Amino acid sequence: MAIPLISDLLERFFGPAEDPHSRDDVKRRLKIVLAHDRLALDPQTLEMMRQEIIAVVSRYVEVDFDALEFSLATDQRVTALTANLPIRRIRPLGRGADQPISPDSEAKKIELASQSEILAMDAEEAEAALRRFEAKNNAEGSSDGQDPIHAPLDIDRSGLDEETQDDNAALSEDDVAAMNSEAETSTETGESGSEVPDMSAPDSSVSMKSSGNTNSESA
Amino acid sequence: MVQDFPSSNGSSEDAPAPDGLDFNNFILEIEPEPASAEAEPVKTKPESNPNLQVQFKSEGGRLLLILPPAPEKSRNPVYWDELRRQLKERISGGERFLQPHTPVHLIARDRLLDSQQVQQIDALLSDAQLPLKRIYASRRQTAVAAATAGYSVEQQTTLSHLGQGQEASRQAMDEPLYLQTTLRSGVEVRHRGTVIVLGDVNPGSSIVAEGDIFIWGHLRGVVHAGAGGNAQCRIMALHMQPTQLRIADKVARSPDDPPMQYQPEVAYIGPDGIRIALAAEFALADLTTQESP
Amino acid sequence: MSRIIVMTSGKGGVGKTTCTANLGMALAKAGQRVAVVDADFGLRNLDLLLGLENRIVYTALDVLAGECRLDQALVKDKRQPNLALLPAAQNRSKESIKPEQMKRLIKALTKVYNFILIDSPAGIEMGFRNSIAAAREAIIVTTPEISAVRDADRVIGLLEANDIKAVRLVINRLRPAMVAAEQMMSVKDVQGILSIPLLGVIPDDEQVIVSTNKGEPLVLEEKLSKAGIAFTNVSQRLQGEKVPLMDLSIPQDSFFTRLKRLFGM
Repeated sequence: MAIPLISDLLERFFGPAEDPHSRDDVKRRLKIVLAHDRLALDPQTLEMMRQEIIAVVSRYVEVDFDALEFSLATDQRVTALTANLPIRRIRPLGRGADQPISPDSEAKKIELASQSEILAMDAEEAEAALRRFEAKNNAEGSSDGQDPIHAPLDIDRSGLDEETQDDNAALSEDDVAAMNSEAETSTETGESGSEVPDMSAPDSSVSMKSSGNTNSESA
Repeated sequence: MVQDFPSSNGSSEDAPAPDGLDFNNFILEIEPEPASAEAEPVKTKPESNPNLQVQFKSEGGRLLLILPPAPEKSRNPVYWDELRRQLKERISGGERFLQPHTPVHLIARDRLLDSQQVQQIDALLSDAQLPLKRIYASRRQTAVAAATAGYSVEQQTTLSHLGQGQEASRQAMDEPLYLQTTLRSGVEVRHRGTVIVLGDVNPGSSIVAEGDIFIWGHLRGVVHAGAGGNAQCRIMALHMQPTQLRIADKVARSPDDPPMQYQPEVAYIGPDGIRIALAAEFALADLTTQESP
Repeated sequence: MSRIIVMTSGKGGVGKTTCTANLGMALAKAGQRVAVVDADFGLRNLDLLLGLENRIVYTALDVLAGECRLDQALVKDKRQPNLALLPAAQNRSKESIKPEQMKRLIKALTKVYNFILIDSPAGIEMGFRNSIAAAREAIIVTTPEISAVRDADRVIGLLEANDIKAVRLVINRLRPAMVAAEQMMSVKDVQGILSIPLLGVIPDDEQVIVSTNKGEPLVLEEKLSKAGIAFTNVSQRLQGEKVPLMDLSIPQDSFFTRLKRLFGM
């Protein structure tokens, strides 16, 4: 028998130092997958919810009604609603409202997490999800570093300008700052007269969270 | 020397025999299908022969490709995928006997074919250099589909002389079916005559022939010779290791301890059920003395 | 009243048919009159696991076609006369039988047998629908793997939608050592996710392959293997007995065993 390397020897003696526990991975993945698999909400309620969401969103943006998608998945532990609302254009709420907008580049996503989901989720999981979400956002060039947990309505990179601020008192300052900076860039592109859309972020998505928690694990 | 083919008690069993136990001696029948079963006996009667599959038949210098009857009317329905498979198998098995450029007359009977399916049949035939000359169909939709696809079509209201002649003469067997292929699990070959297979018959596959069955290869599946009730029929195989053998109404299953080596063997019905003999020692004289009634 | 139980899983290859064969045999050993029904038309396997493949003369399809009586199609087990198999046809497509026909077959079987186990094919298509058509109870067979659990979950939903209320779980191929090393979901994990009553846990056991090779269900062995005991336990629980879950925990590595492993002993 060859003499094992010291590290190997140690490992054999004490067991692998950092053993990644795939059991936790599989549990986490299963929960997400099952949340999507288990579809149970009566159509009327879903329709009502859909209408209301569209109504709210429509106050700010013009939604492409032909292409919107809603899907909902629940189990007794997790409920997740995924809505895909392609945005035609931003509603003229103030300055810069008439900027040219290319509908193609604006597939927007609205991700909603229901209250029951939040209650059910382990605090740990929620945090982990949040961290991933933030990391994703940051990686995509979003400048807001605020914690979405504390933002009841978090609409970022939507090209709104300062005037919106008054209508959205709930938005945190960071949030607004982020919007402003983007609104400015979009104004510039708009003024250049080109057809470049003002949604310059690579994956411009509108994210809404109900009262303070989120699960953004849906792809 | 005739070696006994050990089924249970060295003889045959007609069905899973009930044991002596009380509850094993029962007769169990399912309730008849509610309604509609009796509604169309006239329709089902002409197709009562379950052993109808795709077949080639030469008649007066023409080659007939006869399709099985419409699946909805058959006890052994042959659906399109299965039909295609059978056709492929027939062409590959008999290609040396199918003279290239022989015009083929497709007898579609009452089958519903769309133009795409007709074209697929034509393509398969073309691979064997067989031109599709004409299509005979009794279903209007089939005739229309074939005509639209540009084929010469003849719509027949009755198929007396071509398609159904074989039902009328129940006693006459069809010419032997020659297959050059491996029969794999799930495949069932049914033929109103003798079946010759150049290849293996795998477990899970079966052959039901009204004549003899010859396997030039390993026989591991279920084979039924003389399915029409002819007890004179035989089963021969180079390597006889069947899941089950059936001749006429007799059944035998393989021995629990298989022999060490295999030689070509013949199965036939002896005085006490299905027996197996080495092909080399299977004298015709033996047969005549044992079998003639 | 006969109990009509469908064995199903959604995913293939999790051991449905093995469970059906062993459970059927164990129930028969316990004196129940058991009929196991292979509902996997086209890809039948239950006959192989029971070692009855060469005794099949007629299949369920022949019964439905009126070519034989139901009792003629039933293959009785020589080793265990209380057990009978209703074989599926091997050669025809799954579409060739309808739920209504399955119900007629099962209904007739209830006249003689008090346990009817239906071995469902994998998937949730026609074959699955046939197999649940007549069932009143269901046993979900799953393994502690993500795909199997997910499919099991889907099937549980379908069963509930089809008014099969008594749905119970068998977790197959559990590897306690892997669970202990946190590399496999535990019984609790799986049951927690699926949230249906647990009927039993079958440890992963090489003997299963040996028994399949021989066509002899594990529960027939004289000295039962771990899996054999587990199957017997499941059958007893199915009959209403209270049997504690088998202790599948593995002995903790002692310093000595590690030492032995260290030196390759």
